[in-house]
Amino acid sequence: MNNFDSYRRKFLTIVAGTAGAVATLNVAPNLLLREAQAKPADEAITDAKRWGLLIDVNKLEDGGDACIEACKKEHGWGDDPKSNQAQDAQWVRKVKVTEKSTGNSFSLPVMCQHCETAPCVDVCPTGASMKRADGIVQVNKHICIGCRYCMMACPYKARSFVHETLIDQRPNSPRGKGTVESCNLCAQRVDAGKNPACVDAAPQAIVFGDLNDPKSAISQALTQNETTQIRADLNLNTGVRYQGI
Amino acid sequence: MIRRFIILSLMLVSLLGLNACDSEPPVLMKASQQFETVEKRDQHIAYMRTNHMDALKHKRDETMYNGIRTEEHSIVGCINCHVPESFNGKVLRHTDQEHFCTTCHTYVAAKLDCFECHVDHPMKTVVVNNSSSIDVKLKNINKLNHEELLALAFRYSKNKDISSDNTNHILGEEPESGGVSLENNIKTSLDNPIKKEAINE
Repeated sequence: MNNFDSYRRKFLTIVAGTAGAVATLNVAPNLLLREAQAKPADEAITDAKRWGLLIDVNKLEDGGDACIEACKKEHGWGDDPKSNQAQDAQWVRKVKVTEKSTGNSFSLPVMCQHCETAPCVDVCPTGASMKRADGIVQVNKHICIGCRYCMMACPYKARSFVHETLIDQRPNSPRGKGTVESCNLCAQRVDAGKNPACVDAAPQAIVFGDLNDPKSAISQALTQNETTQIRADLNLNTGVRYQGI
Repeated sequence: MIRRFIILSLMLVSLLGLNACDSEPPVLMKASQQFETVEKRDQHIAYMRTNHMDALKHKRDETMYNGIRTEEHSIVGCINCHVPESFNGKVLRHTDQEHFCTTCHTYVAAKLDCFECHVDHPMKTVVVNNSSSIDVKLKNINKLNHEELLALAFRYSKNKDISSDNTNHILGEEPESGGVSLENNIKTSLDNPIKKEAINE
């Protein structure tokens, strides 16, 4: 090998290395971990996509505490004025499951499961409890009258009611007294092409993506692994799936 | 004759009272971002005086149902421009008369419901550890023009996840929520593994 070649090889190695490092730093957090491509802000969502989550309970180091903290931070709940413990907001609950005979137990985060046929949407008298075209189930608080039928209907205890006047809400997550609230899969982040906050808090354990796209990471993972819907017997076709329960 | 004079003068006085109703509308707080020309500003004022409620209502449905989150007619955008981050050293809330929306809504006696849920003042004191230039820019975000804002937003979305950054947050205060997450003990029996799923019971 002559000198010229060795110089060229060195140079190319450095260039490739730098490019690789730059790509990993800048692109990885935005593109590799996130499948949601940002749609233009003025474009309406369609039913071409159906957003879903796959939570691998075995890979959650803390039973979902990090996700819950991230959710609290994103939506500003968890520290609300209340007159008793039962009024606590619960966008995500940490549920501990114990095998009675062996004592073996594990925890998992349980939030709105974003059902395809959501009971909360069925029972709502005003249409405030709604499912978006892309599968996100949420409360339109503008027309919610606070009757709490949806809280009764939800098999996952995913909804909570705001009992006291709130101030200093997060600009992107309005919440107020007299309305019901629940996980909305961070719709405001998803619309901006970002992951829900809980996914970014536990990227090793949670996959977020399009259930309709057979090539998406979540669809691939669902094909290859044994996954569960909580209360699958209700045939709600949930958008949130679990692995390892 | 005297009685007639009294009645007439009383009527005149009552007319004066009518005149007093025709008072000047209240002076509103100046927005932090100003239009380049007076014409543009006047157009904005004329349009918004008549249509702001319809624009907001239309936008809210567009956002709720269709996920359309443009800056135009976004209530966060209105608040960020029309309400100062602090007023006389404290946060200006919609319960204060000086609040842009409240000043007028009190004058016309129209109830204001937005701020039962939406935050009524800008919340964006951003401190980001590894990029000082962004800090400065975001603190002066109201003074930037549209192109600069877009460029900043683009840059920010590329580099930093504003809302989930674990070092700091859009908000000045960082609620280290010490709330105990609710733990539900669910007993499952070994002989019926399907019960495991029935975690709500």
